[in-house]
Amino acid sequence: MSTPISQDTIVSCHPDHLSAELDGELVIMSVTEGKYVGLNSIATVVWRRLGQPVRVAELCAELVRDYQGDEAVITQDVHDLLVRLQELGLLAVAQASE
Amino acid sequence: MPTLYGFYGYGLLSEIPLHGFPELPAGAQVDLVLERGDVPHTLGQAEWSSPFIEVLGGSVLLRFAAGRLRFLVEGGRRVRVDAPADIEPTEIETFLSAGVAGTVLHRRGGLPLHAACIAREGRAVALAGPSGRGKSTLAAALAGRGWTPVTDDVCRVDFRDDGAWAVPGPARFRLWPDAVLSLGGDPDGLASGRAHHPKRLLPVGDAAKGPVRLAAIVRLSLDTRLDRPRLEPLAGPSAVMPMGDLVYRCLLGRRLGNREGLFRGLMRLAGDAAIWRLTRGEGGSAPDDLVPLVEGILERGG
Repeated sequence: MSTPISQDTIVSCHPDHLSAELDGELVIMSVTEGKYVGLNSIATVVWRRLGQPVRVAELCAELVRDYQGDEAVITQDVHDLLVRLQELGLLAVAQASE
Repeated sequence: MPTLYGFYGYGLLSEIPLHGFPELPAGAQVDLVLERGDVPHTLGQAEWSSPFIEVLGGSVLLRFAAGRLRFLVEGGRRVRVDAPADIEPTEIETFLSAGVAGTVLHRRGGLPLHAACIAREGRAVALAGPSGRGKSTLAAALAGRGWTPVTDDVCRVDFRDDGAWAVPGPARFRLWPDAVLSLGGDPDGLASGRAHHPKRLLPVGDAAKGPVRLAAIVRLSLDTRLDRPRLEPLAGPSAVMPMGDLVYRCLLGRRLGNREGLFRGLMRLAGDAAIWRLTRGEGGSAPDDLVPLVEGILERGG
């Protein structure tokens, strides 16, 4: 069973992946799972911020600040993307220790 | 006495006479051997299996004709075939040209597209898509307009410093009888290549003698709402996704450890060749309606 993703979860790109950029958008494949996904330009921005482990809340706050977007919308969109990446075996997940 | 054939760019030394592949001169390199011999009905504790395929270690067992015709592919360099006397060599060749070829190419780490391929003036167009999309029919129609056939159903892509190249496969198209009729042919006058199967083998004239620079991939699609075919360029991830529609037996390729090779190959292909989607309505569009659209791709530069 996969770890639920909350605002306190620490996430990063799963190390076992391959990626390629096509016309400014990324295609990423999990080497272990063989599953892959195409990311649009916005999701590509999020993916590139997952190179180092980051707390979900901090990731969302950075995106709200940098793109001046609606916090609730960005938080939901990021959560949905992270869940999708997790399903595909493309996300490393850890719960933050208190 | 075995004969050496050109088989998707490899030298195949075969005990079985093959008609769709060119003979190579004596002394050419042997990359692969096809021989008759005993092949078990099962590999036992297979790592992966389907009703037709079992994978165990470096070996792949393929079963056809209700299990009476069996191939064992060992390491991508040796193929053993076990066929009863009533199965003709042409039927063995039919399966060799499709599922067995795909297995060999995956095992060797290549990129086999699920595509027919034709060429004109040194530039090839691969017509790609799942079974039933009309790849062979459209390729045969273009061949009738002077294009040079490169391969049918399985298109091996070879990457070189100057781009992607389509490697020749069998010099014939395998068509449903109605497709033969739509091209003005007589299906009753053509061989089947497979017992009790309606598809017919349409021989071609001058097939490509060697690899041809791959200028474009045309992904064939269906849309029941369309009343006329539509051609559109593809860019970004949609150009190569879903990969299973582009790669011949993609799942098998992954099971054979070709996962990374396929990913890297498709990504490179997207940079080396223009990728288009050609959508026709269900029930099909006549080849004459589709041919000008494909011809227009090369006129636009690929």
